[in-house]
Amino acid sequence: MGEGTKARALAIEAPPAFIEAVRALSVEGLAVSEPSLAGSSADILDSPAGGDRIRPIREVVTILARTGKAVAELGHKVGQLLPTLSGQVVVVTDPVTGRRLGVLSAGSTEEDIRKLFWP
Amino acid sequence: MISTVSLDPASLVLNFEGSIFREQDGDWVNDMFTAACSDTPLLCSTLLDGPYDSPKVGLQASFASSIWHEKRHFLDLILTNYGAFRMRHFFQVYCNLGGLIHEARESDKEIFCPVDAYLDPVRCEVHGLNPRPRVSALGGILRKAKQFLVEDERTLTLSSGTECMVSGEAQLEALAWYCQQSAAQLHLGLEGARSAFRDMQKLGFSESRYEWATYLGLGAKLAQRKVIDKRDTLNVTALMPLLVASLMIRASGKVQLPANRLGRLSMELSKEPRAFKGVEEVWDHLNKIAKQQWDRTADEELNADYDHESGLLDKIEVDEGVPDVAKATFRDFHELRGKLIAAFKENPLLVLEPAHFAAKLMPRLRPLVVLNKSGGVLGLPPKGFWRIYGYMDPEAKEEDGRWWWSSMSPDWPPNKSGSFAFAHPEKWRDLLTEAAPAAKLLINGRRHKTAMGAELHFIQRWAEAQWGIQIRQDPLFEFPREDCEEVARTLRHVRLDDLVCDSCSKKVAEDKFSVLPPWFFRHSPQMLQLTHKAYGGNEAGRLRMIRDWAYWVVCPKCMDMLTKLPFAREALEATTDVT
Repeated sequence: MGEGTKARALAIEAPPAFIEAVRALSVEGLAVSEPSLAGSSADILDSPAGGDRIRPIREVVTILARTGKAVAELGHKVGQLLPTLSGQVVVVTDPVTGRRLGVLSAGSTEEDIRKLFWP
Repeated sequence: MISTVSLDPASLVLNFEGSIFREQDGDWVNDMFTAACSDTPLLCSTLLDGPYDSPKVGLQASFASSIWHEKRHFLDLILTNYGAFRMRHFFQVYCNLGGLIHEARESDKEIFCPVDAYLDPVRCEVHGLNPRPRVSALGGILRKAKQFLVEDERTLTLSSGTECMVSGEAQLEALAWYCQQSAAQLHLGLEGARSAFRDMQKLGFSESRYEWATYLGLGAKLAQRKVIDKRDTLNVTALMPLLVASLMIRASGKVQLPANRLGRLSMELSKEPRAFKGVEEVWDHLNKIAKQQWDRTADEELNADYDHESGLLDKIEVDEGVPDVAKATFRDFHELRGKLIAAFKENPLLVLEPAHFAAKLMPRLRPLVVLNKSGGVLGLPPKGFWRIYGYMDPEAKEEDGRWWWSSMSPDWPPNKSGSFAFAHPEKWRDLLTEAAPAAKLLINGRRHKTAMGAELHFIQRWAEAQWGIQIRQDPLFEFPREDCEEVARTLRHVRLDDLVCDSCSKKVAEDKFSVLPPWFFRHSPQMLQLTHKAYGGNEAGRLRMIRDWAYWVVCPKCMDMLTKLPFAREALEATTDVT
């Protein structure tokens, strides 16, 4: 199914442990950037009077899958990592346009993953 | 991000966004802000207008107390080694800004933000970047700073077995929260403080965000539970020195993580629990532990960090490539830090004991205040105020083509007693207009929780017009991701459920509306076109579209119409938080 898919770039935003696992994936034709903090060190501190919660840190990586096979394998392996998420989500974005492609969680189905990685 | 008051960590100014409140509340909001922010906090209790259980008094009390919370941040971000380390990180960007602009002008006349992308071969390939020496060097500094924040957020297992997330930032929050409570009790009275707390709970605030510190205090025998007035209370006074000692990290060479330092200090404390007579005794004991663990007491660590900072300042002063504004503000920061350290040494209770802080030090802390109006105000700022961010349309008539979003005055709010303040407000004004927002772009593109979204838009235009360089955004960092539900809760609360749809002007039901963030309207050319049309499609509408950076309240009917448009849905996805 993924064999015919063209090479593509994707970005994944997730908790640091998930990002670390994505970076450790061994997939031929896959290049993963260094993780970057999604939030900013220049953010104003949490509002004292508001319901604004102290949010867990999230990181983002840009991924370059140079072959269709690499895209397919990435999708498959990301799917295997999803059960490790505890209540958090993974946001998949097109890093070139910034368009959000979808949101995955521990409850996402194979169909959800397929739609994102093999549109 | 919507907040009535917030401290900007890049410039240490206190942002005040009064326009979130209803127009008819303007007088009390201004009076309360002035009293709470200056050296007359006791006046705040006289401004509470009604019985303690009324929503209005709750709002007034929580508003005043949140100003005191931010004042504690102001202190800790200057005095402690962790706070100063964070601030020096921004100064590094300010110092490099001139060279960076020069380098961009000499090459492709473009800076891609955030600049840590230049260090990464994958991001360079995806975005077609050509790394240059200066921009890559700055990218390296910023990447290291981001890694520090990630590493600092770790789980701490207490002696009780409870796991909690701690970080330097969480410690700053806990310190500010304890001081906010203490200040509220002192300046608003016990009933006023309770009123403030009830109000914050209504807004979704939960004390559970500071539970880790409570556990830590109980584990180390630094916090005591007592029943007062039939209420279960927790005395956390003795916990304060632990948090302050933890933030006295070693910030030169191999930088210590506050989370690690706190873990070690609390573990050593809990090994030999003892009854301390007061916070000074706790501080002395912590100094001994720090000496055993890291060869320096917390006091010595503070001295060493200040000396290190003096050395950095000396180097910067003679560097011709460093912009004057960076030199002047760093010097001002360093001198104020010196004064606060002297006050701390003379009377440690001012910093370590919440009630002392609230009574003696807090009224004398005087951060510079920036008055924000996200909707834009036509004309010039009030007399005596400097315009920080504003706009003058070259094609428009003067009356509707000139406005301001942010302004500040060195004399407002006034402080009569000797205060701890920056000596050169005009230099901080200059920093705010260029270097501070430019640094934010370099650090994280436009993806920030800022008090005033217009500042990032403004600096991008400024870079193009004045510096002759294009700012290109990494699409992943092009827009802040707003938590619209939280903004909706805040608006509903602050406006006491008095809300109308910004699109059709009809009153909205208290829990049946959506919020649209200002970047939503600026996401794409189609969105701009739609917004222009919503403002009448004429010249006045064009100017209003540029001017309005407020959040929009939208009724379900208008929201439904809007989300039928694919480009509006895309804009919503790009500018709102789903995590």
